[in-house]
Amino acid sequence: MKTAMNRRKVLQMLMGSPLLNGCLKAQSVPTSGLASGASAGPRKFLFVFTAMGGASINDCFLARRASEVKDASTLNVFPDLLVKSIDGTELRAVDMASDAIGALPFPVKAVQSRFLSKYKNDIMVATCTGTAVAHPEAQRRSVTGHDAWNGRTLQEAVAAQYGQGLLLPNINMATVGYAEHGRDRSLPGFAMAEPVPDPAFFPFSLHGYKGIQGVPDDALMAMARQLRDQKLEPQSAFYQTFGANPLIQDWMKFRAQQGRFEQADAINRLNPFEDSKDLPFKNFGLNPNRDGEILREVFPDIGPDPLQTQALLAYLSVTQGLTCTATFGLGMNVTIDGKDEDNPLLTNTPTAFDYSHNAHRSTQAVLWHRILDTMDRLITLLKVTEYQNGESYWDHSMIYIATDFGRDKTRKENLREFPSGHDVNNGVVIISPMVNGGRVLGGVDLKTLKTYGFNPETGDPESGREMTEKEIYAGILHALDVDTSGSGLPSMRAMRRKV
Amino acid sequence: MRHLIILVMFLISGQASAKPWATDLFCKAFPNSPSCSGSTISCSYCHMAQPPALNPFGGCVKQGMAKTSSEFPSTFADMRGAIEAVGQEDCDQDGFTNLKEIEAGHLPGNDQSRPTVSGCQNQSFASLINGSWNLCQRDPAYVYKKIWLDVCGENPDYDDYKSFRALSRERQDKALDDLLDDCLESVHWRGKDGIVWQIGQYKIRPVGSVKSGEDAGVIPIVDYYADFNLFVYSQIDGHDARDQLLANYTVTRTENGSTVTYTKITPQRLLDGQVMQPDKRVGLLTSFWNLSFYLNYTGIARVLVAQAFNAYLGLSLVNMQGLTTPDPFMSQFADYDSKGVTRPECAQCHAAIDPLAYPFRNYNGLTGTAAVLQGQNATALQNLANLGDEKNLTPLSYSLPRMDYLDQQFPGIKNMPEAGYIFGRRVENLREWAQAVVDNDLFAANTVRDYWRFLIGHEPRSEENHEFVKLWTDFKTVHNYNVKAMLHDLIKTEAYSVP
Amino acid sequence: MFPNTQALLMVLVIITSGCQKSKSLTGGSEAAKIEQSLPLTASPKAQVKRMRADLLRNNLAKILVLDPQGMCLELGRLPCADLVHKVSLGSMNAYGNAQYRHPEQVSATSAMSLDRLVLSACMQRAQLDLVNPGRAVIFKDVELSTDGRLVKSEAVVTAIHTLYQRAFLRDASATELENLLQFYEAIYAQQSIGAARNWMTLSCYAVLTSVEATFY
Repeated sequence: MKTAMNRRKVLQMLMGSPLLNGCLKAQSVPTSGLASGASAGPRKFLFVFTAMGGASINDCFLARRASEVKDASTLNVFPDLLVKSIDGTELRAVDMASDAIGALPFPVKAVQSRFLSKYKNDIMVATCTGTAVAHPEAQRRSVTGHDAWNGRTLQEAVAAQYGQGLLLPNINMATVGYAEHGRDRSLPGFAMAEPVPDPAFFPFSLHGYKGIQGVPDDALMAMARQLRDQKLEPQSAFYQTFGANPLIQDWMKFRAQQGRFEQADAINRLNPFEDSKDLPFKNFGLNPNRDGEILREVFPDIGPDPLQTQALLAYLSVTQGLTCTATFGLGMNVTIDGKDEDNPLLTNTPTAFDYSHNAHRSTQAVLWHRILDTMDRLITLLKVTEYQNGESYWDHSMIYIATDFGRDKTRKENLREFPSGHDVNNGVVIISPMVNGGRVLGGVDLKTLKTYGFNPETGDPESGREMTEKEIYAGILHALDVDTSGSGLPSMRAMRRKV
Repeated sequence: MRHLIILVMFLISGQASAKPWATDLFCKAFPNSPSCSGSTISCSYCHMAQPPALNPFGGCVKQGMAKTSSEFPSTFADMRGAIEAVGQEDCDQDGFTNLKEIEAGHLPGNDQSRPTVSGCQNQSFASLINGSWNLCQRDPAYVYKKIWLDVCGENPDYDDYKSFRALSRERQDKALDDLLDDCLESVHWRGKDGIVWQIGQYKIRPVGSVKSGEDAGVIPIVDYYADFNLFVYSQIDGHDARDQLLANYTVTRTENGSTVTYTKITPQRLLDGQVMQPDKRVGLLTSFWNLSFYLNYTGIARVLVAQAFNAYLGLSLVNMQGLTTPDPFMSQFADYDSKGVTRPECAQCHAAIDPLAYPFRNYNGLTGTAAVLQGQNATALQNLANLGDEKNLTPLSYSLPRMDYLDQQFPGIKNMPEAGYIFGRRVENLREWAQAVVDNDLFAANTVRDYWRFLIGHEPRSEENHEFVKLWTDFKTVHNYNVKAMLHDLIKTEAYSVP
Repeated sequence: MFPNTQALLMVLVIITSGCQKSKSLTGGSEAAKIEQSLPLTASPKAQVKRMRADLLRNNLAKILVLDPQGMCLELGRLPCADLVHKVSLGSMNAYGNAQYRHPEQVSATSAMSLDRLVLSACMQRAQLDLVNPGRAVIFKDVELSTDGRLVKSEAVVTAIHTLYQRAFLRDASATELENLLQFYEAIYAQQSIGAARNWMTLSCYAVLTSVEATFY
């Protein structure tokens, strides 16, 4: 099986780019393929984007105009002109600008409509009412469906289904509750998430010695490991005395797989950076991903921008055949785009969406924009990268935007900027060719702005119903064709694309 | 108001399906269970992940209730009776009766949670000749190396190790105590990012990007190293660990080569880095960092309370641990911030949680910052003479007008009382609240558990529980909250000293 | 090929006897006991902890007498234990990633991160010891022939013991000694050029990446 980035499509996409010549030049270089050792098969891929802090569905896909509600002055609605309807769907987008994010003097220019128009057929919004307003627990529940299946996370379920034989079936770059392992003790060990605290540095830990100057050659390294593994260690008093410890057993199990990572050349393949004076890879015998130039054109800010760096690692890890589910997203830390020194932009607020406690509207605007912009870039690459039989990776992928909870639906009278607290009532966004795209499942009560649910089979709105975390969890797994036999999860036919 | 309270009392006493007070009753019924000794149970003891669904043990208890009375127990004696009625059954079919699991501190409704036994139990020492370690016996040389690594942060010198081994057993014991004292002075133990500092991470929860001062981040706003300094100070040199929650003073740190010194600073508002009035300071609860970042603009300090319970008591409010519901009439429980907490499904827990937060009533995070900076409605920050008068709305201080200000956003919030309830006990203010926390067994147990986790490497196990309980009991009584004294006993436990 | 294997093994026996003598301080010959009673009785508790990044860094720096900050730098500038491999090596990233507790499990990348840390350190130590054998820490007075081969001497055996003493607070067992000496022969057979330097580096690596150096 071979993966090919369709360069023609990328070049079409990048038409007019100053890097065009560079891309053409790179065409003669063979493209990266699947890592050896990965088993063949039609896998599905789940990307979980963690919208830390409470991404309000009312501020993006389900936004409402002031003219649509009676109590516009005290509900979180927008001036009519800011809300765009997306043709042929019930989806909405908010395009707005602002001078500051509360006390933070950074301008906001948020455009949601472009993304929604571009991907509307693959976007499904499902309303949901969660069960926790404490961040870590709410985050955990957003990916376990409130322990809907023995505490197994969505990512673990996908990795257990599609990750057998992969080197890193499940990578997790997120933090706090989104970074927690599930609680299902029957989960196969390989499906547990590998934590990736820093995507820029991660490739260094995928080879035991490549990139260290003056290191002995492969054959000698293999001999040294053989000496350690087969002679020194088994004979040591320490190992004989304590070797049964589970930590040591795990250590040895993982160590035994080291050769597979090294043969796959993951240290280079997952490295999208350019060789430079600051990052002199070649001086150290490293050769970053050969498609790097194109990748950096789509994600130009990798390095300084942690979100783009995460997204690109997720893409690379999946398309290089190492991974079937990748989790990444906004963290607690502030990030700034300082390319224009005179006009820096804030690209993450302190505590991400939870900065809505201070400045709801601009926080939601800047971060939704950020999410959609990053997803656009990721989908762009997935669409032009062939998975198999002429199908792209995107044809087999799903993006689930997980968030802690929603935010207050109200505001102090007529305030354009206002603080908001936590509200369990919200909705989730799922983007994938495999879901019931172009649909809003459920709806918004115009008296309260609270969302209401839908019929799990037909998707018809049901105003007296609230969808549970368990139902959303089930819908996601079923859309991904994960075998949930015996789990007791409900059927959520409405969330799957009608064939 | 009175009508509302009566309604709430009715709702939380008769109609609610989940019963948060059940955990409290259980621990009163089985005070000697390790699950209740220095800890408390959570919902998962009887329920599946999503209450009210019962796990196998919960189902059995329900049957036990049917045998002993017709309704849910309202006294601990009834609770004990209902459980003992099914005590000899093995509801989760893991080979241990329910009572055995309760006595061992494990989950009688989860077949993966089983009592553990010491591997050394019933071992004949004659069969354990190893040559390198005294298996199943206290091994001073083993402890010597561990103290070096754990506390000093490096291997001992080989010659010193040999000299130690050559000592008599009595002198070895003395040498171990001396070694511990020496190592407790090391940078590895008490320095910046040292072990004690690391233990404080989950309590202080720093965010790198907003750090000011030393190691400043991209938006240097707050210096939380002051919190670490106070925390470490309370844990070293024989100081009182309770001061982390009671201190009105600040602490500075100086590192000079291998010497790290923490110095207590006499409270001097602003000049010592804190805005809070000294007589209103309550240790880490009211630090600049905690109030600015984790209270910020919030009206009712539920998040701070949940975090404090987790950090200082080891309890999860989300899992209904540590909740004792006071009489709603006495606590004046109401929906002060219009969050719907008096709805039946919310009131079950919030009638206990919200009164925990009332004593933070007048502690201001950032509310009114803009007004203060503009010289409106309050004394300007730079005016030291008037700053911090409790009649002013000064950020990060004890401020009486805070609720008046918030009342514009949440009408009625100014009626929230300052007196609250913790562990079922009325407290008039935050200082009494903090005193109740540090006086509780759970505080002592959690402090010891922090060090147990680090030095022994796991949570206390069934066979180790008697040592753990003795240690935290002694910490409270014999050691008088002196961590250093406690550690001298910890290194003598079987859990630490027996290989 | 080692210049004279038999002679070296004789040296080994002599040195091992010497070691037994020193062990009398501790009440008997550990090495002898270990050799006699293999396989050893396993600990019924089998309780160990993992050395996390800061401890690995400090300990390795002490064992090999290296600067903990300069011991391993990716691309010559990125600190291994403090930055690049910190979490993979079991520490937390509190400030940057809101990770406020140590990871409980070892991960798929942990052993590779350890390899890089140890290998970098061992290469430095071997280089320093080769350049100045008189002030060497591990490979003290180990001599190389003009063509880069290891010259047989007691210093080689002493070096192995020194490594074990500094790392594990014990001498190498006779079997461990024999294995490490034979390892030189294998390296030489595989790649004679630079065999001595490679043996120093890789002996150090094999010992210091073993579970005895990683858990305690």
